Amino acid sequence: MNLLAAVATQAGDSPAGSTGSTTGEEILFWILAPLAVLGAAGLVFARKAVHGALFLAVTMVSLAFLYIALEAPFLGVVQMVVYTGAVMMLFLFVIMLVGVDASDSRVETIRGQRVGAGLALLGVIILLMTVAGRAALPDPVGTAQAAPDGNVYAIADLLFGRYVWVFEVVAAVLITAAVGAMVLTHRERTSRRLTQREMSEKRFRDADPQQAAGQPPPGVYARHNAVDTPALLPDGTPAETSISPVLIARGAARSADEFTIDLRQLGDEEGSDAAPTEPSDDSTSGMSGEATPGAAEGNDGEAGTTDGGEAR
Amino acid sequence: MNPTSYLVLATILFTLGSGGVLLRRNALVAFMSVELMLNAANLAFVAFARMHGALDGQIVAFFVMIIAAAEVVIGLAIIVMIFRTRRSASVDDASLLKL
Amino acid sequence: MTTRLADQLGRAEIQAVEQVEGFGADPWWIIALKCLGIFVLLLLMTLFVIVFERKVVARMQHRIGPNRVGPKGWLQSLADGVKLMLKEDIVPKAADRVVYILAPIISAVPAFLVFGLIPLGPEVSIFGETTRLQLTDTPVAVLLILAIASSGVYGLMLAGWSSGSPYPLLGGLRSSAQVISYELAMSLSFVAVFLFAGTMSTSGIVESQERIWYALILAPSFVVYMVSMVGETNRAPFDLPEAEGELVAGFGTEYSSIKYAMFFLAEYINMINVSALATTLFLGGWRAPWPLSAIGDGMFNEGWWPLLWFLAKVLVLLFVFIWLRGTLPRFRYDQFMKLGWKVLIPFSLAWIVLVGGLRLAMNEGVTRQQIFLVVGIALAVFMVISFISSWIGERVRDDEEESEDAAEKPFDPFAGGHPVPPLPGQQGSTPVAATVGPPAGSDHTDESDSSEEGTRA
Repeated sequence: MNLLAAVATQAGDSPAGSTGSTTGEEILFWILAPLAVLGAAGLVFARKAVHGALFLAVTMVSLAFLYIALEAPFLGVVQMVVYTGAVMMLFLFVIMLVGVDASDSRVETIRGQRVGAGLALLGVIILLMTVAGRAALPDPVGTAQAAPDGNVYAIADLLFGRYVWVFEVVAAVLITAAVGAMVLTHRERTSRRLTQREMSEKRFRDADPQQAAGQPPPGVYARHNAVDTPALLPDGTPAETSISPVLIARGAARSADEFTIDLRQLGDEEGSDAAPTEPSDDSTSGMSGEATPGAAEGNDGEAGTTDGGEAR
Repeated sequence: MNPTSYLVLATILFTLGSGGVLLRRNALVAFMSVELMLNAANLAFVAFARMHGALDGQIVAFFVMIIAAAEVVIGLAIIVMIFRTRRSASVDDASLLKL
Repeated sequence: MTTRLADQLGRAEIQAVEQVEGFGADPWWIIALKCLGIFVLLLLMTLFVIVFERKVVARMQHRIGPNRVGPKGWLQSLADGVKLMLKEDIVPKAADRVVYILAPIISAVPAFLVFGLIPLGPEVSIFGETTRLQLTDTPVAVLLILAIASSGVYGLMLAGWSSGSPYPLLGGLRSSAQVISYELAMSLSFVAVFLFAGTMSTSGIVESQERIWYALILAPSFVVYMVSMVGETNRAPFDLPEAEGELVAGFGTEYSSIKYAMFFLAEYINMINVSALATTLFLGGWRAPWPLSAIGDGMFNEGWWPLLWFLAKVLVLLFVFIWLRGTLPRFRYDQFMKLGWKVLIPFSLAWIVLVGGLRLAMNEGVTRQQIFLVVGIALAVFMVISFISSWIGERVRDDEEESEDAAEKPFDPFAGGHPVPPLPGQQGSTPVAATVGPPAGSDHTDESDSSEEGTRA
């Protein structure tokens, strides 16, 4: 909060036009510049794309603050809205869409590419540094002269005055890009999209009517309510449909055998109680009889229901 | 504050960005590196705008931002398309036209 | 109108000299005090709003609500907060540790920042120092608020990603898509305000609403903002990122203890933030509402009084949030996106063009009467057209209904092999004892059924 206030007041107060360095700006620069470089390096060297995107966001936010320090408050805020708010968010969105664990392969496809790239980069940095370092740049004039009514007003003046044509062209480019993205990602539907009503009717007509009210959620009546624990039917058999097929495919679901043990214990406990009730007994035998999961639900489940009803 | 320090910072960022483009195989990371290079150029523009006491540099930086946004939209759409057909976001896998 | 514009231009020139008037001259201890005050205010408001919400929703559902902890239950959220902090802090094995811990912080910190740019009142004196009741202001304050708010979304998104399980990931994706699309509509709704106020600084916007609130003259913008602010804060009926029926708890599924509490805190502070922003931009900010502002030569618009009006307006908006939650069911995801992209954004664009045109016409010297005349004619034409089209539509619908009535199928109690109740308008057949009911021997005698159907079932 204080930093924000400091930046804002500094952007407001920095005696624009005065030459020489203000210490406030220098401190800000020496905090933000390493941060920006750190973020950029993180982008290049991070294994995971999401981490890279985060590092880049750090760089962009520090650049936004640097813009504010450079008497461009409007640009700084736009940088934050456009880059961190929209562009990086879009990147993250696509990273998550495209595959979260799409980490880089370490194989060099072109031989010697890394070495070559390293040398080229070294060349670039030496070249640019020499140019930047050797050029005797004058101290900044400041934008007070150019923006007598404040930065926002001056930018608006230029944008809708001298640069209005460019502005229009850029707007056209932006719209073209939006349409292009839509065309690129558009997939033609081969059939009409079902309405909610049709889908619900379909569920009743085509699917198993027993599932019409939805499948049992995991953990119902079971001893645990975790997602890997199948629900128990009223007769005590596990309902295999209550576990997500994904978990079964991954082998993360608890097997029915574990349940046999659980249920046997349950049966014993109840047996040691007053009256040995039929359902618990029944379920144990039912479980041991059906070693294959999935067979438990159908007819037997219903039979169990009837039994339970009779017992009651 | 002399623009040289900003210029040096912009140089470092630009170099890192081009390094990302050259070294990384993941299309998304390479793409983000391009954004980094654009940002570095923007920083130089803004620093020069202040040095010269004219706002044109800021305007150019503003336009660069817009174009970058347009570019991101199209680029990401292409990446999504490639991913749909090839199930991969690596720049090496989209090589069907290579001899 | 034109004189006001000239006024504003004059003010703009003053701003140009020292950016926003009246800021940046405070001694450090006043700034520290303001920071502390905002922090405490936000925390207290959050504690209050949580209980308030539970109580209001309870009343709407004919319950009593929390009434145990503290006087009439008002300390309930304090107790809950303490309890939440003492809970076990779990980091899932599959989680990306650093990002997982960072995410709640990223979402909570920006929430606190926004309030620093909201004007809570005019100049007051604190221990002899005259200062504005606002931490800071810049010429681009509203844009800055947008920027800060958009960085808060990273928290939700990263929380979803770093948890390393499917439900949070879906929640994170949803939240980012949601915020991107609703932020667009939100910022478009600001544009009309900027056009009228001639500035983007929050204190300037409040000042320009001295005569009339923008909620009245820019009502469409206000409506768009109200809708998008609910979408922006992930609140019901737009709480899709944490839809408990679909995604367990969305991005927060794997979170526990103080990290979860931070998400919770961020959500409520964000609610307060958007309400405060709505107050500032559309409801006259800290200015007293109309009958009060006329009393005693504006004595209620001076000193510490405005803080009261500000908080009252924010509370009313918060009540609207709770009201919506208590009343409306959750949107389906595609409906929600459709509302954002196909209704709110085109509508705001058209409205901005209209407002811009009006402003231009006024600047060019078109009188208000002429504008009213044109608007009146347009409105009349629109009403005639809509009346005719609805009349035609009704006729067509009537025809359709008649044909539907003729073709109405007889009631089939075992449609699709499953017992179903009659639809409204359908006649249930006489109750017959079920011959072959699914649970044989059960007491389902009231099942209406023809024996044929039963056997088929």
